[in-house]
Amino acid sequence: MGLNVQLQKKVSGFSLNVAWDMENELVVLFGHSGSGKSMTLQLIAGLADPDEGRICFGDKVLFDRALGINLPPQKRSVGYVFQDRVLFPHMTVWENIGYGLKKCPKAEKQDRIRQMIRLLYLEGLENKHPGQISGGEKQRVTLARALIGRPEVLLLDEPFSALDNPLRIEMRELLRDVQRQFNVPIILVSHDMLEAYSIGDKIVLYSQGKIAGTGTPQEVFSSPLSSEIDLYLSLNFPLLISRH
Amino acid sequence: MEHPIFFSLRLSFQVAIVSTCFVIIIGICVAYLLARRDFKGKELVDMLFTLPLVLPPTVTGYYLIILFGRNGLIGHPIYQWTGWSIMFTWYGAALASFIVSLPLMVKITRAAFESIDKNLISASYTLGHSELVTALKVILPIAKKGLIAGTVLAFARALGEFGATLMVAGNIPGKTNTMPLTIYSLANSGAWSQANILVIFFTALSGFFLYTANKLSKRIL
Repeated sequence: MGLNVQLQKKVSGFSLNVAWDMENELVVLFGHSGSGKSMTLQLIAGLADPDEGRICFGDKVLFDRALGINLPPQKRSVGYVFQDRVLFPHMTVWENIGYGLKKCPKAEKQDRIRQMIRLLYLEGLENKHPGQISGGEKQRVTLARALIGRPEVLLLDEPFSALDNPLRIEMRELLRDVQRQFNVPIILVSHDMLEAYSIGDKIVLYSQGKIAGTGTPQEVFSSPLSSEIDLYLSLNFPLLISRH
Repeated sequence: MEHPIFFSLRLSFQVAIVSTCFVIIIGICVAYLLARRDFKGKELVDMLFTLPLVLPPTVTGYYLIILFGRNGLIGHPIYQWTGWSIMFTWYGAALASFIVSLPLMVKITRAAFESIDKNLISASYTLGHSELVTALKVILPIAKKGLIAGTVLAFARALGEFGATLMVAGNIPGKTNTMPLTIYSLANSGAWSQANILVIFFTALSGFFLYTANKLSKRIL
């Protein structure tokens, strides 16, 4: 089932105007900070409203300005992992993960929390509070919490930017595992080229609120689709010039 | 027959407890709206709820008479319908304490709500939880310290309320003479030794409340 996104939004001096779609894959929204990537995630999740546009997931319309449809975030079935590892500070790891599960019989809820704890290597941390665990662990708890309700799409906003390099590589592999196990489409926002290159099935290149190009990492980074992308990449990521 | 001083002590706590119960409920609702919603006239509402903090309590009391007096805007229909008036009853003292201590609760609770990371609230929404569930399970528990600090201060303020109480409930011995009013009467009649005991008791109690509130929210006070 694919996600189709057409968005227009203006906010104080910045204008977002993008349209792209994806299948059951891992898409990286790649570009500089302030290019509209995170805003796109917020609009998909329903945390902000587009001025114009349409967001649909298969047959399910999440937002359509023309039809007057605008589902609240609660009804969008979207898993959202925030940039700064947002965990509820007053809840334990177990409670944080469990909070992602609504209306579920107690026994089943416990089973599912246990399953998530095992899948994301969080054994032994169940009763710890967010302040007592490391950055990598926090991010795994956030992933577990976002996934336990089995969302239809998983959104990650620069999830690994605060982690050091070895941990990042580990998390990327974990994310790949997660995608395979849960069979969930993933949209990941990143400004790290290596990350985009190594993890994405598809790259959507953002530049100043517009899309500069889309394609597989090889298509976007190795054989530019157009001179425009080429120029954009050379200007913004000079290291890439060496590929010529 | 209860000793007059014990009566006014008990009455003070009775008034402060009732007033604080309402302050907690109304204060949290108003602070939530001010912190989480954008609406026209929001700052005006904020000003209205803050005014009793800076107005002389007698002026606040005067407004309460205009509103709740037997010929008042609200008081008149109530009196006509039931033959009852809140004026010169302990309910009047509780109303005066409520109005005067509400701003403390609203200010402190609003600050506590506004200091919560907005992404925590967004996270709760994307996990499928309604605004009410988010408020009860995320916002209130995280703002707990601010809520307790606001409650403690509001309670201390209610316990010490004098001016507005005098205007609305009067100083009727055995009926509406709360502790601050009793201290006033004792000083007036030259009963210094009794007044001293009450003054020291009151100072110690208020000091304890301030210490507690300070400990709970160093940032706010």
